[in-house]
Amino acid sequence: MIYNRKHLHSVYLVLISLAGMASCASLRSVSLTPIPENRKNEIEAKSHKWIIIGLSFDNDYADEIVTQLKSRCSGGQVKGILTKDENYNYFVGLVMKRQITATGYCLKG
Amino acid sequence: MAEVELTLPGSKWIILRKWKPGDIMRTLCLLVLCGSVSSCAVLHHVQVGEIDNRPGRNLSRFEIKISETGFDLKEATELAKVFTGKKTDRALDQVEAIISLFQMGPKTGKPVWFIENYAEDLHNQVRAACPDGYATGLTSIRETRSYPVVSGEIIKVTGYCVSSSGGNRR
Repeated sequence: MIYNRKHLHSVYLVLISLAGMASCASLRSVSLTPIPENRKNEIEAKSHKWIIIGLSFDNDYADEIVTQLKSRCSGGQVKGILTKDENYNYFVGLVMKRQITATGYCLKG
Repeated sequence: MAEVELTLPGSKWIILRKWKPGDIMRTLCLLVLCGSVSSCAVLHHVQVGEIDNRPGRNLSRFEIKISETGFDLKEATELAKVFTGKKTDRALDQVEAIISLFQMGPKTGKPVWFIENYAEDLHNQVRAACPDGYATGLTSIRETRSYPVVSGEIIKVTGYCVSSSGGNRR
């Protein structure tokens, strides 16, 4: 096959678009606390941080999780907390999204 | 001086910039300087414990940080090679290979060389932070602050001391 410049332009555009839109997800850590018998009221808290070219100067986004869980279960107990630390890579790893997800059960009364 | 034109092979429609060699050196030096004085924070593990937010309880936040210095043998070797001649490269590689045999195994962050059991006193510090003995919402975070060659290997525990406004706390 003989490619001319127009074909090469299209190939480059497609490759760059695919690399930019695709992400690679990985799970870095997971933890679980004892699960209660009453599991009717499930709550979730998420916090994330975008990291560009690997530059990240703090991990303060992790401190928001407990605050969010407390606000979603005010006046109750949060048990059975599943905590996941996830990593999503975009643009061949140049852009990353670090996300912490915590789901649990709110017990009141 | 020749200018550098960055294009993709087979195509001239993308020209990123016309760089002069002096521009490239200045930009590289600036990036290296910024990289050397800043730290990179890496989060390895996070864990959230049960939260007791029932009414009639006062929650006071506490934070405990324990850290130790980590040391990257490979980075130190590469840095030593820069300042010594090529004749010592092989010797440095051999020293690195021998020492790295003692650093095998799963780990997070860079190896800590001096005090490996620096986290063993953590539970005593949590008890000291909560003299009443009831802590809730314990979040443990294992993170690293990376610098060139060395790093801060940090364990951070945040939580809330529970004290009742009156009566039993549990």
